[in-house]
Amino acid sequence: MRFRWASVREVAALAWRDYLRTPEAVFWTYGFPFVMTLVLGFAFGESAPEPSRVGVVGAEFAESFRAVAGESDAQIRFVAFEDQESVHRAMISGRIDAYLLGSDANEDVVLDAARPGAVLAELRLRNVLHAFGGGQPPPGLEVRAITEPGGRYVDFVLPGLIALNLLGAGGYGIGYNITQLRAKKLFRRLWVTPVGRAEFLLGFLGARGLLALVPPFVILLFGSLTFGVPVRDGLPMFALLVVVGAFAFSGLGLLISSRARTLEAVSGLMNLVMLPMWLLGGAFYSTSSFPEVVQPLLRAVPLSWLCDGLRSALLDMDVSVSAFGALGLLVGFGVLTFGLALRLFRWT
Amino acid sequence: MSSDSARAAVAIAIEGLRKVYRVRRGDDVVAVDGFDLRVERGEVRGLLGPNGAGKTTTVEICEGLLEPTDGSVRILGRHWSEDAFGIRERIGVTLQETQLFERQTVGELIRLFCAFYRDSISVEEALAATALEDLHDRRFGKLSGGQKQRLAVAIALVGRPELLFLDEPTTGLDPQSRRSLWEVVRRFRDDGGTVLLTTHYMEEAETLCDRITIIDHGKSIAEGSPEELVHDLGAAHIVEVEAEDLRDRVDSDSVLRLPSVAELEWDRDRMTVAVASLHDSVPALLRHFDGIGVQPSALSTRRRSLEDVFVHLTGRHLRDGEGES
Repeated sequence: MRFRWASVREVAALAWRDYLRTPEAVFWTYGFPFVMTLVLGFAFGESAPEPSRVGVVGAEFAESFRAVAGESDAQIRFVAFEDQESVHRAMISGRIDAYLLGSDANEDVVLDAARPGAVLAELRLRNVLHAFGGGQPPPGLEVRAITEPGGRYVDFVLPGLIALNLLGAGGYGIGYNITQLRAKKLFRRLWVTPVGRAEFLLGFLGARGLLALVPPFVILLFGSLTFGVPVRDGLPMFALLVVVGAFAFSGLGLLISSRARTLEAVSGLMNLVMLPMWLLGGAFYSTSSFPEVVQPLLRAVPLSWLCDGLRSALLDMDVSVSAFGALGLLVGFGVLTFGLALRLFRWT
Repeated sequence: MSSDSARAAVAIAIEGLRKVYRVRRGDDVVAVDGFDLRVERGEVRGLLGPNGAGKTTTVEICEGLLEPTDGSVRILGRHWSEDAFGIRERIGVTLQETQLFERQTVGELIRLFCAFYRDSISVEEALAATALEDLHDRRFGKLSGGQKQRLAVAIALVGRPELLFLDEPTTGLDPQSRRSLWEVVRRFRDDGGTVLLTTHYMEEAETLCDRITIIDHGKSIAEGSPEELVHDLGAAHIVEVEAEDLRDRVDSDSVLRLPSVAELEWDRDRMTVAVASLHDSVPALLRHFDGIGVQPSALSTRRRSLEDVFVHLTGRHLRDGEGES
């Protein structure tokens, strides 16, 4: 068995060029997280105090609430709805932050789901209802879900997006590319040359891996400049986690694609692995409110380690896996997936 | 190069090769069934056979892409199990369909493959050998079929191979691209290289190959130079005669008794006669027609070709049923 660095270098150069010459790949690694951060940031960022939007059934009541709200200078915009169903739908779709159930302050007044604006809306409503009831204490406001402690949603979601980006670079970026090389029989062409598997994979994965390290920093910078996402002193740990995350998920991508012969086959496998990660990895929302029984399962999702690790590094967030824990778990996961992938890997 | 390559005067030695594909349990397909082949150094050997005859399977076993089920294969004196990387350093390959990295340029692709070999030619040499100099900066995805095929051969040549495998190198190419590829192969042979080539094109086999092996049902059924194979048919020429109501007026048996006439076939009123020598048979045929009062409306002669050999041996035309697996 021989090993030539010249081969590794040329394969790496090839993988590098191939990526940069694929505009759609560049878009999905950079453009997609940008757009997501922007959209989610604006949707949930609430960087300036905006009036809370509260739905009320009946134009008449809305008017009287508005009058009281105006007097007490509460930052609430009351929106009138025709019936209970339409006001409920408005809240589900996010057009209002809360709504009042019933048409009278003396009746049971209710509102809210787990929306980030709800806490503020609740506080403001208490003031208004107090005034509305002529100084009487407001009836109990039933809050159905408690929002995540600490930080805005954008702070929470940015590390999640970075973790997803690394997962995508490893899984899709490497998995699809490797499978495509096999499906197009390019591997066969390489196999009849003296290039070794190790040389090829080291060059290819090395180049792709290095490329994958860039977007997380760009996304973080972007989030920090646009939304003031805090970085605190977590940057070194963040960097370490990015490297280890890229390693672990590259291994996963290689494992998924170690035998798949067609893009259809790898798509199936990819979905099988990726879908649970997206749903249960806690990238977009906290899974801590999931039932207690499934919590051990959730903690076994590799994406959640990276999400938790990054959040812990950047935000000092209280999460189930610490940054150091995440480092260890991801290194272990990477060693395992790479080990398996190299055993299973086939040129054809 | 090493001393064992000098020792081995035989480039490819295959004995009793068998390859069985298991489709389902109890449903085996025998692709190669006791195939023998011996290719001397410095020759261009053509492997001819109908679709599904086992050509590509045989070539891929020689290239180390497939494992034989049974039999012995020595490439440049070595077994694949002994020294796979050593063999790979010394062979060049074009696969039946060459797919390379779409977004890389011709120059980049050649440089990539150059890096894989211990001893390689320069990018410029590879471009010059295949007349691709002007396309150095063109991306693979933008090349025409003929250019892709020439690049495939350029890449096969980068490691200074002693033995070149070309699996249907000119399928789908226009005549000009085909000729320019033949030129590359001839130059390689003239420099002492050995070539194993499969092809669908009779003309390619006749002009390019020193020797030809005809393979059918996974076995070698004939071997020799193109001339020898035609000669072995016994009658090297074809005479075709047409006349009104020829079939009714001529007695086949009496034609077959004429000097040097070997075979006779009818297609309506066209008579096709295989003969050993034209100068004996044509005058005799004309005298015979004169005697029974037949005026031929057309008479032509041609040399028998490999195609005739092929039809004779396999009962099929070489290009029957395109689209081999």
